[in-house]
Amino acid sequence: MDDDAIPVVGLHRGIPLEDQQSPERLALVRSEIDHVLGVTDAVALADWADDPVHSPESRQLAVAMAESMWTVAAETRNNRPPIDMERLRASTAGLGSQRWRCPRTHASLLDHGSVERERPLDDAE
Amino acid sequence: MARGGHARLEREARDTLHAWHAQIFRARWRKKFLLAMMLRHEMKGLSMADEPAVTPRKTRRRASRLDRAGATRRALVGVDIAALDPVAVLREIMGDRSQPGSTRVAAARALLQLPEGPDARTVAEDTITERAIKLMAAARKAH
Repeated sequence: MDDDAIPVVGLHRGIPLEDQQSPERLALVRSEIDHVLGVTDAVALADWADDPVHSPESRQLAVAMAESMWTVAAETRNNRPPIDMERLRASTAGLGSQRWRCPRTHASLLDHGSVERERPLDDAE
Repeated sequence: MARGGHARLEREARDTLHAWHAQIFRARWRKKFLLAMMLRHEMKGLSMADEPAVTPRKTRRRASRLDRAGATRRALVGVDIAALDPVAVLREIMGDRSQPGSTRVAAARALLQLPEGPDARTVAEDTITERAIKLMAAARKAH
């Protein structure tokens, strides 16, 4: 069984940080994670996850939080947040996967318009 | 039969048809059979349906029951609701052996479901975050 998950260099508030990032980039990722953790609106989380400009870690966290909000609302019989979970999963597909990791940007191969890496990954095919 | 018995019988049946029976009985007791026959003849014209079924007595007024709001007001006289600690009340109920078992169990369950720590405001947010982290961990394992 091959491990397709991107290696982790550490955790920030329980969120894994992907490897091959500069300290400056990691600082930006941490600040974005802090921002996402403070968001309580599911629509804002969905918008954040849909935007490839943001870091993959914070986008994955935003998707997971939006899905948790959806689940909690369903369990407590409250109104579900007005977000499309299928579209949200589709827009973040490939994130966290070594195979679908983009060697030139901080995103997956399926994303467009994301932030360029300072140095392309060595194992770029 | 004692004479007091007749007097009591007459007294209790003063306003009813039993008074006729009492007079007839007393006449027979005194062996005045002619008087007894006359009394019985007069009594035949009277109807039992016009008389009450039982000896009239003084009606005892029943104490009125308090409604729920009244009972609550009465129970909370002298109690400062603002100073009550819900957790302390639950603990008191849970530890009270005079309470029914189901009541004590319900109090214990309510105590177990209380959030730990004073920061109960962020419980829902913490639940969302914890679930999100678990979801991300599960997604990593799936890769």
